[in-house]
This record gives sequence, structure tokens and C-alpha cells, in this order.
Amino acid sequence: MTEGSNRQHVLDFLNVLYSGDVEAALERCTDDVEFLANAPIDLLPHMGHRRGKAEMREMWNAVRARYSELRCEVPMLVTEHDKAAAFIRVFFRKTINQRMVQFDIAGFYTLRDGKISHIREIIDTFDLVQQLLERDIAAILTGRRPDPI
Amino acid sequence: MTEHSLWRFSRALHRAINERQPADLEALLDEDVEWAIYGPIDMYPFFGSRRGKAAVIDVIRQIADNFRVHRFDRESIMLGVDSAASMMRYSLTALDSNKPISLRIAHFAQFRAGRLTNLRVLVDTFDLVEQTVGYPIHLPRMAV
Repeated sequence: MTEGSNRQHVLDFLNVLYSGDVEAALERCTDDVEFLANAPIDLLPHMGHRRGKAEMREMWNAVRARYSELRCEVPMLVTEHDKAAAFIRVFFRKTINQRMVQFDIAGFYTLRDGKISHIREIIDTFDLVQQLLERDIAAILTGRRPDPI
Repeated sequence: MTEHSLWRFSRALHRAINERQPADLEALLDEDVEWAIYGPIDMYPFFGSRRGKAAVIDVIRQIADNFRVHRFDRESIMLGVDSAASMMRYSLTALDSNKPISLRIAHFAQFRAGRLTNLRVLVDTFDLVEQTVGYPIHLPRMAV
């Protein structure tokens, strides 16, 4: 696999995942795909460490169920050999109240035979938590007047 | 084989923070460099977006005033022709409290003619805030 084709594989994967097509995303992963993202599990119990397609399906379907609309932008993507890193700006619309959540993910991918075998994500989790709870936690911690979220 | 721009930038960045010697870094920044560290800017004023060499040098000075880098390990790295991305584990000391802080960050960098034109940094910010305040922030047990 060339770096160019791996770049396209990652873009295709992100396009189907963030259009909500979980099965198409899983088709682009190896059977033993592994996922790790640090996040507060009280609020995001579906995140953390996942291994294999069944666990990935469960996680992505949990996300899919909570949001009526998903899309992403990928302003930066770096590839080298069998690895790729994407800066992903994600837009989710909450099913419960139609409010939009927008946050950034650094996604690091390892590919095997054109399929994704390993995903590691770093997320601006504080911003994500504030948007999910619709609370200005920074204001609570610093004693400043809260901003509207 | 020419050294990738990331290595020169990385050395200069750590020298600017730990030794407060920004001259090497200044030489490696594009005049119109775009710089962003995503996170709560009212808790960490050196987070947020900056544009231009002077603004970036100023933000590096602020970081140097607040932290000392003890160690960093690159867990993953990708080098493109004029770009780079890496995931790193940093061990820092917060200078005001002398508190150790360990955090994982991701960075995406773009270079032109050996100079940095764009840098985006993502941090696991919830973890960082909890380490800074020194206690766990209790969240409602709910899936949202």
C-alpha cells in the first residue's frame, strides 16, 4: 500500500464514519481493530478502550443514537508508510434538543493491507464536556461569570 | 539527507521554554505563522490562537513562565514532506505550585522553506484541568 492510498483510505473511513454509516466504517477496519481515547467515562461511558469489530460497532452505534446529524472536516492529514494522523473537526447535532456540538479530535491511525487496525484519539475533552453538559465549568472553577455555551 | 524541519523546530521550542532562549525558535517561525493550542483560555491564557511571529514568541514566554519540561516521549510520529504530526507524553512542572503534571498532546505542524507556518496542538484538557486544580471534577453519571 502506498502512502497516497493510505491517505485516501483514512479519508474514506472518516467520511463514512462521520456520515453515520457504522457498517461501512467497520468494513474499512481489520477484524482485530483496536481503539483508545481518553475521556471522562462518567459522561462518555462508550469511550475508552475497545477491541474488535463488535465492540467498535457498539461504541459507534451509541454515538450515532445520541446525535441526529454528524459531519466532519479534516483540515490536516499527515501520512507516513502505514500510519496516518488527522486533525478532525467534528460537528454533532444532539438528538435530545437539536443543539450542535463541535469539537476537535487528533486521530492517529495504523493501517494494515489498506484497513485500519489501530485508532488512538486525543480530544480537547474539557471543551467537549462543557458542550455536552451545556455548562461553563471553567467559570465555576475560576469564579468568573459564566459564558453562554 | 536533510534533517526534517520538525527536529530543528522541536529542539528550538524546548530550548525556548526551558532555557528561555527564543532566538533559535524565532528564526524557524514564518512571519505569518498560525498557531493554536486548543483548551480553556481563561484557565490557561497561553492557550488559544495566535498569528505572527511576535505573538507566538510571546505565548512561548508565557508557557516558560508557567511550566518546565522535564521529559517528553514521542509515542507516534509521522513526517510528511512539509508537514509532521506526533503524539507525545509530556512530564512538566507547574512553576507556581511546583506540581508535577503529566499530559498527552498531539500536534500537527506545517512548514514552508524550513519555517513553521501552522501549528495546531490538541491536549487531553479535562485531564490537564483536573491535575491543575488538584482534585477530580465530578460529572453527572450520564451518557450524553
